[in-house]
Amino acid sequence: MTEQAPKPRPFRAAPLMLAILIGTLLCAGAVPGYALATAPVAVAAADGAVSWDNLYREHRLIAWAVALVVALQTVAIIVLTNGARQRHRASRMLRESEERFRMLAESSLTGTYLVSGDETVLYVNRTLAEMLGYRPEEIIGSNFRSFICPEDQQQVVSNYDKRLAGQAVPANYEVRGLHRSGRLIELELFASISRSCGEPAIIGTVLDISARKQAERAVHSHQQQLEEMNRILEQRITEEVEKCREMDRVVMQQARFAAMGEMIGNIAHQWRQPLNTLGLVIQRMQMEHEKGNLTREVMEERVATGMDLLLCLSRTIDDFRNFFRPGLEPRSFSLSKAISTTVDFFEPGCAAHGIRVTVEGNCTLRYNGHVNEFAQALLNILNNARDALEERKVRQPVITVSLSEAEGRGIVAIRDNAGGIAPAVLERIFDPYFTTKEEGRGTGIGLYMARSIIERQMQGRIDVRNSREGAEFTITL
Amino acid sequence: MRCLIVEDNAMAREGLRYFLADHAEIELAENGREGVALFQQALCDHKPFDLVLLDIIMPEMDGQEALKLIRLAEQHDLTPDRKKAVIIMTTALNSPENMEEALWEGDCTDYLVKPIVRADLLAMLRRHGLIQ
Repeated sequence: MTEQAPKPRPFRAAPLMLAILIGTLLCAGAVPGYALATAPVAVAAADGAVSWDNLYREHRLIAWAVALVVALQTVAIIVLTNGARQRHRASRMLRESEERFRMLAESSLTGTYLVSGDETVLYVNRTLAEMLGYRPEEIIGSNFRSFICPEDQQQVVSNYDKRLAGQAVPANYEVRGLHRSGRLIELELFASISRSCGEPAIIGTVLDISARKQAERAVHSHQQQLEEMNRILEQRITEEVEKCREMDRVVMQQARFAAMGEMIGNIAHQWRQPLNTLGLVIQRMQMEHEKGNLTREVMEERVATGMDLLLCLSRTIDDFRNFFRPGLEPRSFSLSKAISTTVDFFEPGCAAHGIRVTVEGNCTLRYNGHVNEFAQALLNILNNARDALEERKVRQPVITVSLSEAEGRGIVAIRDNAGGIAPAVLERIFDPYFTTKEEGRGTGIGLYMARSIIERQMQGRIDVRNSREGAEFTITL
Repeated sequence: MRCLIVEDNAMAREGLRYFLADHAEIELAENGREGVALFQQALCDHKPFDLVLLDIIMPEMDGQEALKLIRLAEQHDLTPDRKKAVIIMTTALNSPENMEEALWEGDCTDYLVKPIVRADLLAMLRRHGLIQ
């Protein structure tokens, strides 16, 4: 800091002062002497013995010399007076500057230091000294390492050396200081290279950032807690979503099984008739044999009938298995054929309850996808219609499936004459687990599954409305 | 014994007819409506049927509807209970609720689940006193 203050110029007026003194003495001696020496001449001139012109011509050089000396003396006196005034002003400004600096340094809320090139502390202000638990005079003259936490000394010394060597070092960095009591203080250290008494030195400021760091740690800790809570929350959400999905999968699977069960019921019915007939044919053969009527021709006829029935049963099983086998690769299928096959499986169960199922219209469009999934969706809608017709004991119950095409899209409408769906139910009919059926009869998944298949898997659309006679579901693909 | 077989499946109808040919005079109907008509006609002709084998699932009119109409026809004819026809429902629906409905609401006498075994049928007829 001392080299920063303006330095007074050295006093160099002595020779000038000496010259003035000599000049003054010369003038003081020369003028009276000269006057005395020339007095007779002047008297003679006054008397008219010598003319004034001659007198002037003989002594003009001396007169001019005296005049010059007097002029120089005057100038020198003016210059000296002015210089002294300036020096006085500079000195006053220097004192004021030093006072200002000291006041600034001492009353600063930040610590200030000056360290010499040999690591000696040349100056610390009161703030820094108090920060470290000392008085300034206890620190000044010590090695700065004494006030740095041992673990951080290497970093500080390295920065110090590099800075002195003129290498690029961060202007500020954080470091742990060592308080007199032995506790660690967190400091932010600002440093720059300077000079002190012509030697390189490091000057800078120090901030106690313990409170800030504590606050930062608290914030960080809260952030971590928040992040942890977020993580746990996300994990829980993921788990819950996964649970819901799993539950959906399970329920969907159960619904599939339930639908399959119904289909198997249909198949059982389809089987029961030919099985009965086959049984009657076999028993009849026995009777014919007992009565002696079993001729070769009769036998062949009965065997042919029996085999036809067996093959029919076998085909039913194959068709059912192939059509509803899960995990089939997506493939191109005819909408018309898929509907007629599904209705073929569905119809026998309806016939058992007197429900007529009709298919009308045609559609030439083909789709790429899982035909069994589509059949499942259609069956769920058909089952719903059948249940409504049975529940309401409709006379002459009918389910109509009509196909059409519009703007390159296939439209399948499934209508029943069960009287329609209540408006409040209509809004929620595709919601999962929503059912109006009595407990144990409906899962509330059938129509939800139908919508999932049509809209999510086949990118189609499913709508429902009440027609004049009953409900009408429309699938647009 | 006069017997009416109401069955929509031709082969099954023919098989049942063959089973009972030695025990009864048989008439055949393809559906409920036809069966009811034949039953009413027989009442009018004073040649009522003693036994009706009635299939449940049939087109046009199912067995349950036919059963109600047959019992109604007997009521109109003032047929005494002991003279009422033995009506055996034949069904592929092997479920308790169907049977319950048929037995208690429709007032059928008994039921047989398909496939029908001749020995069971004859045993049932004996139990109801129709054959020895």
